[in-house]
Amino acid sequence: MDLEEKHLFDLVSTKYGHFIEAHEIAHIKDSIADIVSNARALREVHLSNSVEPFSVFSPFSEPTEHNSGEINDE
Amino acid sequence: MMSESPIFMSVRELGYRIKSKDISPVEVTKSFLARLEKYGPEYNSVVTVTTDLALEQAQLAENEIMSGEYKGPLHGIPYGAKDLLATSGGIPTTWGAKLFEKQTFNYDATVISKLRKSGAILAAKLSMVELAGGMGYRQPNASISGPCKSPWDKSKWAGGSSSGSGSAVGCGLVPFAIGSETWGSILSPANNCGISGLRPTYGRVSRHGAMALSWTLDKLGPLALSADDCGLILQEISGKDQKDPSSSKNAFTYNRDTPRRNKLGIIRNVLDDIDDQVRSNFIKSMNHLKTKFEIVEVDIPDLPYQEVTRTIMLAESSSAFESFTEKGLARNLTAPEDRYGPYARTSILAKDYIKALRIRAVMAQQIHGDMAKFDAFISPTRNTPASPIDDEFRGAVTGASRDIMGAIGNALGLPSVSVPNGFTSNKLPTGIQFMGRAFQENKILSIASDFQEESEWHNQHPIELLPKTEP
Repeated sequence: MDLEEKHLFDLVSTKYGHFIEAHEIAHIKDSIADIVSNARALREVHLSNSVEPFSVFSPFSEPTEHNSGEINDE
Repeated sequence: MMSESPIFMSVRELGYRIKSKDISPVEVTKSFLARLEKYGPEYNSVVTVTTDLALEQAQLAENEIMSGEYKGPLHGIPYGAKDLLATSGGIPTTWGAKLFEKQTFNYDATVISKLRKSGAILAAKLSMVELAGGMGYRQPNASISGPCKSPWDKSKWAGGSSSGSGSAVGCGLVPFAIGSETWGSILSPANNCGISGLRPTYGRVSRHGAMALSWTLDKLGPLALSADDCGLILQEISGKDQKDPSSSKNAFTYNRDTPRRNKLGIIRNVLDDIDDQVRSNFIKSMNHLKTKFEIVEVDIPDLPYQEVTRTIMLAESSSAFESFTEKGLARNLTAPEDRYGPYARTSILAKDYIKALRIRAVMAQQIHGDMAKFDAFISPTRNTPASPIDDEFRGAVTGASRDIMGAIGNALGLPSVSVPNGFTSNKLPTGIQFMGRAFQENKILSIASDFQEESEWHNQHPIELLPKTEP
């Protein structure tokens, strides 16, 4: 395990170690290695400051007879 | 009243005959209920047969139709729902897990409500992989119902996680079913069961009342005997729903008469690492398609497609199942790998998850541009035919196999339809998928329907399941 993987495993172990059986530890280390590998692939992609995710939030208003509940820029 | 068996009849044909009062919804429903009871346990495809509700809904449909109140192409037709869709009336919704076998809801999922309004008849809750396979399962028996079996070979897996939805349609236990896909869960059973399956555009169908695995990846869609049937069903279940903020305002009206560019794209290297017989059937399909389409290899931008989709799925599922995880409930799941699966993903950093979401935005724009020149991208639906029910399988979600089309299609919420395109030497079905740009279901359904009109794969059914073998 490299240092990042070790730190993440320690975090998981601290939080959930009481739920984890001894024979599962190696599998969890493998899963963390996969997660770190995924993350490193993502980190290699250079994005400019302006690139943002598609919004997953929109302001909510209660639907009424005249208002569908969706955003209306008045 | 019923001169011809409704088993393995298309939804379109059944609807036509019901509308013309040639066959009775009550008799049709009784035929399918009998098969659900007989074959459901044999194939592990059913969790609950909703007999009383089905007969009540069938009688109502019959009365309405006889009095001239015909509601549309699904009126009087039985169906099954993946057991992650909430159903009221005390019908359990198990999410495929023993832990939730007594779980009930006091409301119906929107898709269930819409189908009821269309006059369709809920005949069964269908089996699925526990928690929609979101905990990292690697074996077909990861389900309250046991390993769900392919209609074509009971020693082979039906695919997952909408296993029962695929198997029940392929066995002729229901004319159609509703499944869900986060990454591969509609297309995989469609492939393994030799039927058609449509993963709609993200937001096309309300997710209200469906178990959440990954809010920005989950989609609901139909599995049926043909792409044409999938179009008829999608029209009834799609639409804006105030209870699902991600549901789309874009109305869907099924229309096969769609303008085309007569050009299909195939992502370069997508045929690497696939089974020889899957490749052979796909090449035959391509040769057939070349009579109408120019097929062009496409180079897509070098981006970490699978890592993006995997990171989003793991991070969102970690949050969706936070309470479950914190209580240590995973210990009660069936598959050994599901019992520890929820823990490692809690270590995904927020900045990495958000980076995946930002890269997804770049992917969306670039792939949208790449697809603009084509009617659809094509590929084999799965890299392999159905695997043995006793074997671990190699899934893309866990990183054990490669699925670029699935990673792109699910991360970007693009529609894809899978239809059968042949058999292996062991008589296992294979499939071809047509993936379109967002909200272009009509185009891909049109191409897939034309393909099916010129092929017979979807009209073949396992001999032992044909209605003539009924006692």
